[in-house]
Amino acid sequence: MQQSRWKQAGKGLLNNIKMSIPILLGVLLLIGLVNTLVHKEFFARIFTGNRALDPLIGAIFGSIAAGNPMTSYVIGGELLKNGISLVAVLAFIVSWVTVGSVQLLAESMSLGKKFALLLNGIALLMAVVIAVLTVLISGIFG
Amino acid sequence: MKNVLMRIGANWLFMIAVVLLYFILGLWNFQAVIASLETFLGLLKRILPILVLVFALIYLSNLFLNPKVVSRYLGEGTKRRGGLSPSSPVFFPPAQYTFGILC
Repeated sequence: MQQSRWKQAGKGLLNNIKMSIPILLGVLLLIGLVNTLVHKEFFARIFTGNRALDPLIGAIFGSIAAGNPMTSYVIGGELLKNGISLVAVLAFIVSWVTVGSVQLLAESMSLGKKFALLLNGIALLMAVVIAVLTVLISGIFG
Repeated sequence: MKNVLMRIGANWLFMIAVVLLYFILGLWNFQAVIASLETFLGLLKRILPILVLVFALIYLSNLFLNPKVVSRYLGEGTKRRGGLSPSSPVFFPPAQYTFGILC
């Protein structure tokens, strides 16, 4: 019984690795391409430095993307290196984890359309709020 | 054709598409491919130790968290409901895994 529990957990981990490794490697390869081919000015054109607009753009990008949360940390780190503001990167990471436009269909089938839309809509707005609050609070303590 | 694509899975298709992108770029600008691969390897080296830790934590969460345990903390009659939400940090796997637990 106990052994089957360990085995079950191992099976779950193996499934998780099978699902996340190709996405993670693909994203890392893409970051390599983007870093080489796309100039920093391109990011500066999308993220204009506007305190209200930048986190919203970050949150929208994060909500479109899907996959294991750790992928978002890697991308977030690279965005920071490219001069994107912390608040936009935070909104991107939070919405990556909490908003799932890609899995919206599965979510609405399991939990109901209205619930899924409300959940994702509120999560998108909250991603912006959390990002702003995190930067404000870290500014107070840092 | 559709069956083959379904069997490969969207995750692997994504990676294959990126590798193809490298091939196409290589025909046109080989130096850019080398530079991109260098960035890729640098990133991989940086996140590999973290990845091992993350997978160890996923194993532990698989070991101790299952739909039964979660429903014990979220179900009717529990004193502190909502403490374990799908977005809480103890859930590492992608969000779609959580729908099954909630239903």
